[in-house]
Amino acid sequence: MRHQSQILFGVVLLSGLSVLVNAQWLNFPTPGLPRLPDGKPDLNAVMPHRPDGTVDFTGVWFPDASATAGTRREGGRLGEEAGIGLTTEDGSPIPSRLPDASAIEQERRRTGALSPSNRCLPHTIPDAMLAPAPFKFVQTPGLTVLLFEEYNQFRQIFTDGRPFPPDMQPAWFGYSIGRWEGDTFVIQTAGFNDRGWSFGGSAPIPRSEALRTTERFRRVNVGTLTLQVTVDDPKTFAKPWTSNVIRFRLLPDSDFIEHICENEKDQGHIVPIK
Amino acid sequence: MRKSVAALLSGFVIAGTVAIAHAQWLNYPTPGIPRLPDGKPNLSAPAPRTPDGKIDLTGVWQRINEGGAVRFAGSASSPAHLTAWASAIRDQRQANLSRDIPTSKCLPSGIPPDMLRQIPFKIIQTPMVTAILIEEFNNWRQIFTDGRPLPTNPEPAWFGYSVGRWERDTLVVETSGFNDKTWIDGGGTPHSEALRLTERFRRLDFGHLEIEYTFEDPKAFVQPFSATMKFGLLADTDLLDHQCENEKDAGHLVGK
Repeated sequence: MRHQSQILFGVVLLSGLSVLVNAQWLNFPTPGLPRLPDGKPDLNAVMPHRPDGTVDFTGVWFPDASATAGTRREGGRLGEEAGIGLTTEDGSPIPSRLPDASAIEQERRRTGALSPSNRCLPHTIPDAMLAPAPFKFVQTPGLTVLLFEEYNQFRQIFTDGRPFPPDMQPAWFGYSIGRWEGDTFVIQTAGFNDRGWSFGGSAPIPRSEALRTTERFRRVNVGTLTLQVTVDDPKTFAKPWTSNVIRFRLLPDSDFIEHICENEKDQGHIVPIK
Repeated sequence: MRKSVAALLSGFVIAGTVAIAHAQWLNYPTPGIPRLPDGKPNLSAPAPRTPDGKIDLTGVWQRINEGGAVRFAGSASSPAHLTAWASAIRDQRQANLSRDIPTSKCLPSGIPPDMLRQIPFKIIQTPMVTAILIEEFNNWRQIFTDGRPLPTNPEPAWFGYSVGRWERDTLVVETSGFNDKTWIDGGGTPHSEALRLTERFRRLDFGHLEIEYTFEDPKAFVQPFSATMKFGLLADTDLLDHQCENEKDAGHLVGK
């Protein structure tokens, strides 16, 4: 049974936003998991391929801060689980921002502006996978869906060969198309709006509508998923950069706890940090 | 191409919450749809089946609007007979001009209204779980078809807890564990946490889906009642990005 602690993926902990509940399907055996003789899930087993030859990513995943090298743990003293902050591939901090983007970031810091998630708006990419909350892969031949526990949000990744739409209305989660490179699931996303807040971590790094991300997911074994993100936003960074390898652990025999964001409960209690 | 028009359940349109967007994948041919010689989707072709022989409900759907917004109660011909408790709540909500409908605060319409509006939803059927992606507020619900029972002491939830089973070609979905905050229709018809909803999904042919809803809630309804709704496949299109930003609208609502 997974630990039911949730803390928000920011520096501000908003008590009312995190709804903690008991009961539900947190102990129901996940069908299809390889098991050890004692019935426990065999998390070190090799994940079998699906009938269409792709690796099966199906499952409930949780960011594994302690197993992710270079991660910055945030708010750990307030909860059991922490979000993951990105570094670059070699472990150095996220590259410096171009002057205009840096000015936006400084202004956000100066005013104590709060991230969209404080108003129940979504974490986008990559933050939605890095917040200390589970997400679920639902994989079908032409479409993979990620369901997020936090705020009950989803994103779609089309794998039916379609290209990006020619004229993309900017969207919170952008438009995602995926393909398989061997056993690696490669997701390219474009058409973001410019309202997403950060790239994992507390720094209020802006983004532009020119942002493109490339995510590379690998299922190392039954119990482990990894992700490496390449961020390409010519208005924010001088050149594209690739993140450290983020690790996720499977939550076997468990499922989501419903989490609907009710911001009117919290708006009056939020105090900007100056 | 579908019209990018979304109307709110409550009858009044809240300008800021409805994000209307053009472009996107609204004209991309959906793979796997049978087509007529002219290339148009053949919506009267037989319903598709999954490799294991079950009807495949996968697709983008929207309720076919026959007779306007759904009202389960309120007139002599309505299927629901409300208890005094439910009737009083419904009257109060109507007197208040539906100001407190959950969507006005960006909270989910819940089940079934999320699927009864003129707003699309997408069914994604897999062997163990069927996910329904709801365009409104970018929400989802899950229906487990892996044989698990409903939880015995669930924490009340906006979308409840849903399990499904196949009875021949009908997916029968049982949901319980609802909170009592959702309205089952746009007229303010309430329910209690005791609500148990059965949905029978029948895909009649490629382009047409029917869902029969049966409501059981002794606190709200004098007796169980049923209603059947029709849905059409939205071919060669997809959902739009829709996030709700309530601080833009809450101040503009009127009511007592």
